[in-house]
Amino acid sequence: MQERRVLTDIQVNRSLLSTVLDTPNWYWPVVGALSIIVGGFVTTIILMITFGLGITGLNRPVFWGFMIVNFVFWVGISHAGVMISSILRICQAEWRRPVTRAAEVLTVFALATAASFPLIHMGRMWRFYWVFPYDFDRMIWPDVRSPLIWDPSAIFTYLTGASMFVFMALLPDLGNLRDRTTGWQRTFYAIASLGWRGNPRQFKLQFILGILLSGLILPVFVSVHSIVSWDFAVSLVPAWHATVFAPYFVIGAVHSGVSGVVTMMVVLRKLFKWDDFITPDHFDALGRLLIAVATAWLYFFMLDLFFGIYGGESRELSVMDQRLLTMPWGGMFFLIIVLGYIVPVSAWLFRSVRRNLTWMFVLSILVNVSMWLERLWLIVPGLQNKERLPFDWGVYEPGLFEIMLVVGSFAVVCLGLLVFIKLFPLIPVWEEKEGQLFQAEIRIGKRRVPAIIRE
Amino acid sequence: MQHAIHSRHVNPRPHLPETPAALTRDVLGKFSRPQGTGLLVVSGILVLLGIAGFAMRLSGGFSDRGAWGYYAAIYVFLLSTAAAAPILAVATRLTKGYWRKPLVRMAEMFATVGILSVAMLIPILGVLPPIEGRTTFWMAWPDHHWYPQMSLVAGVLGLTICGFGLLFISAKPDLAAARDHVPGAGRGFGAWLATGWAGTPHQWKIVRQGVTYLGIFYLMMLVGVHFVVSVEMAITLVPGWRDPIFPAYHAVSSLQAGLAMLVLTLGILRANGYKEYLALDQFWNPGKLLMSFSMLWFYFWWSGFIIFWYGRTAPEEGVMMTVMFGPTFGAFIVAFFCSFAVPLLMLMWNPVRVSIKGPVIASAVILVGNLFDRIRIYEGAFLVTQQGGHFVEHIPATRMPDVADLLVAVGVVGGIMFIYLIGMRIIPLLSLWELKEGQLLTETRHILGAEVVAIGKPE
Amino acid sequence: MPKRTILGVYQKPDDVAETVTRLRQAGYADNDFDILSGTPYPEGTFGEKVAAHRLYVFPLVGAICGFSIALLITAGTQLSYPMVTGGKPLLSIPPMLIIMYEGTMLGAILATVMGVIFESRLPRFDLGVYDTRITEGYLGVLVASPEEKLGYTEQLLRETGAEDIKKR
Repeated sequence: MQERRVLTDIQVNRSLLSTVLDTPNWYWPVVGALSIIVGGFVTTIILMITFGLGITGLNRPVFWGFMIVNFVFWVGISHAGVMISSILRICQAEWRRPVTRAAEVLTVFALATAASFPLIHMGRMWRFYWVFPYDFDRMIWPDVRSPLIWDPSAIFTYLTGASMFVFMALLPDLGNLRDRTTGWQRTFYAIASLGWRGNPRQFKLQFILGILLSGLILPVFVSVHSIVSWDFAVSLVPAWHATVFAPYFVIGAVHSGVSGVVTMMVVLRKLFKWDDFITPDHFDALGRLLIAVATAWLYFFMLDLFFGIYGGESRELSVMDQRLLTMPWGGMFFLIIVLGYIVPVSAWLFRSVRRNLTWMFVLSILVNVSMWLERLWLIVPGLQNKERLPFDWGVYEPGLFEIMLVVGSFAVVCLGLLVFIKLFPLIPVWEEKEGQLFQAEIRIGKRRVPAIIRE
Repeated sequence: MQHAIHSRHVNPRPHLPETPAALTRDVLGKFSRPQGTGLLVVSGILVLLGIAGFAMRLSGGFSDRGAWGYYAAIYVFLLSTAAAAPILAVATRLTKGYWRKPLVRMAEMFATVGILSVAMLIPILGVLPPIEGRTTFWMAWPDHHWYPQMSLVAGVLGLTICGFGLLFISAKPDLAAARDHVPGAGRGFGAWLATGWAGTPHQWKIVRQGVTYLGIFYLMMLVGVHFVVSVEMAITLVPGWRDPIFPAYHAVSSLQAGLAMLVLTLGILRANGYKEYLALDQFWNPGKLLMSFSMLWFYFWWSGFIIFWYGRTAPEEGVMMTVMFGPTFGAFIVAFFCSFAVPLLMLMWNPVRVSIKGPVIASAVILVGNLFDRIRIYEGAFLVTQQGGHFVEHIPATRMPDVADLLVAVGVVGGIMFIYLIGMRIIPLLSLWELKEGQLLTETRHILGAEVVAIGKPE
Repeated sequence: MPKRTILGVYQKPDDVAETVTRLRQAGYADNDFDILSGTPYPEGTFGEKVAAHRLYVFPLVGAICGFSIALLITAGTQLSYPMVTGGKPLLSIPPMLIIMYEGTMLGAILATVMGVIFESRLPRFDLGVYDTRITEGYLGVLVASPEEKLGYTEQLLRETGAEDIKKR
């Protein structure tokens, strides 16, 4: 691990703050292009508000389609961030340093995007405040027995925690930026840094914050996707009503999220030439982590499948028949297993693949394609199941607007990341400097073994 | 960087003898003059008591399944603790945890207890009902009556063989050291096992890779065994029990109990001659894991419970009554508190978690919790006599354990101790080669006023 | 007696450790000087006093507050509008636990963040004597010196290798 060069503080500053202090040529064109797509996204929402949800493909009996799939997908992506940064902080893994903030920021933007989907899907989104117990006059309250009320509480907690985490860990770097800038920028960073000076006390508290907040956010992160899964599982819809849903969703989220972080890191390394900071070692470590995560995901996936068939209940069996043997769902099942497990995991078993950025990029995209399909495959067939009344038989056909929302959501997250990069350093500068300080080697004979330093 | 909150009275890190030669002498000295002869005799007597209890149970025949419920629970407790204890060695090797070195062998040594797991499985095979007329996992092959039994045997036997293989490969360099340095009878059977070891780079490579791959394999086998055991010995016995999370819950609670078993053993060993090797690091780090496993216990239990509570269908009500709120309600309450609430509340506090005694006491509590958890599941499931149907139509009444059950329980505890104590007389209880590797890769350094330790982590 | 602040800017960590020793010998208490750096050094690198804090109280208090508020909301809304939904009891405890859990964690997280800000003695509107090179790898030793010892302190800082001195 850590085949890094030793860099001085000035060099670290120059490379890592360059995203804020200089603007690369491609930046504004890309932002412009993304803004156009985001414009399309917003237009779609406005059209949906104006003409109603009827313009989408949602109709009886399938009322949860692409928007809910997208919600689950983005909540899933948001899980990597905190999982990676918290677990690595708690374990004090040395290779966490360049990864943590990028992962956390991805969490924040993915989660905010995810949270927008239930709002869009609500139709009358201006009534979102109905989930809060506000009506003291008439004493009419939201029903806490409904999982749709748990969702906002979980997502609000998670979003608050993750943004606070990002902000607090930014303080030393905001202080750094304050010292590097002039004019209005200096004023902005001076206020944002809260007057950070960097004495031992402040750094000690930064360290404790990292551990403490990680410990607090990890249980929240598990609860968020569990609650999302309970939106489905506490109902009696066949194939949704499965006890395994909570851990199954969480591990699936981690699978897609860690892959999302891999995708993002490859892109960032290429764009900003961060070869000194993001090394093949990082991809190697993430690849190994992904093997374990993917295998755990497969385990839960199989449990869900086996027990769906095991009971021999006719409704469950008819959904399973639809999922496994009827097109397009059967083909989707095949893709989910092949793209989500067989291809990537067999490739990750090779060290050379794990250390090859192009491979890692392609594989991580495949995983997320598979995971998006998996959510669709989980959600829609259960609703499409032919129940007793033929009146309620129907097939879900997503419309143009829903596809626009899916495409737009990717643009929203990318644009958010680009704006963040322009304002704040995406690799924690102070942590990177600490890493330089703690870089060590132990020499045995002809080998130099990289070492970690513990107090 | 670790702003440690070390308690002032214990050494945070093991104090090993300075040179490799002194380390070898010390480790092999402990090996050739093992302690615990008295305990060996006591545990032997307990085993005899257990055999007596087993004979009493056997005299009642196999037909009354409810009578075998406690036996099954104790058996699965054995599978959940002793068989899961080596996992910490596997996991910390994979993640290169630097604090693992003194305790890996102590964990792997639990693989020897697999003998007992295999032996105790035999009567259960006779107790399991035929698969006709009920829902089983063998739905596509209804004519094969013995599939549940065969899968159980294959699983437990495979796990045991894999465990022995793991122990043997990881111990081979140390057995060779014993062969070369321990005089006379102390070398024993182990020296024969070490035949052919010379320590060439090729042999080392095989040891490293063997330990890694067998470890991964052991973990996967363990998860598989828990699937088979929970399905064939609990889920399929209760009509209408369709619960995909249950095998995962079973495996997670077993990992928790296995870790607890190991930490308790470490505590006992520290008090009996291994103080210099087992320092705060070897308790604090497993303590963190114990705390997270306590939360996971709740999480996996809750994930199942909330779905049943919301579903409220007849099969779900029946299952909840059978294994939680019906005949084994008392056991469930004990399990809930001892597996989750008490250890979590204990280990949340820094002074308890960052200590030797704290994790050890929490482990003892967790072991009690796991035993009662297995009782509530297996006694509950075995009490259901209804064959077939969509849900449990008649919730059985509570059945208290009799003398035979208590004797079997005592016998299993004695058996674990007995086999472990025999094991440490054949194979050194400290992984000498990994300790020496640790010595090579650790250096004390100074960054100005602060003393730090550099720990090398090769690929 | 009015105190002035004086900042010595250093390049080498060894010099800072030496300065701390000299300052102690010169009769400065632990609270009279502080070290500024752009990198977290291991605790006690410069022989400075290890900072005490009471951060662990904050999440506890926050958790208790969050738990209580969530308990109030979940129990109160169910009891004050008794309507059976989905065949569940009027006071359904399992769903309450979920929201109470989130409330507890939210309280703990917010309180932790506030605790860190408070214990770091932030926000600090006036930066005081400061040098921007500190975030470029230099180190600062900040001394609160009595007016009459100012010259002596400056001399001390220069002797121990300060490249630059700032006063206020």
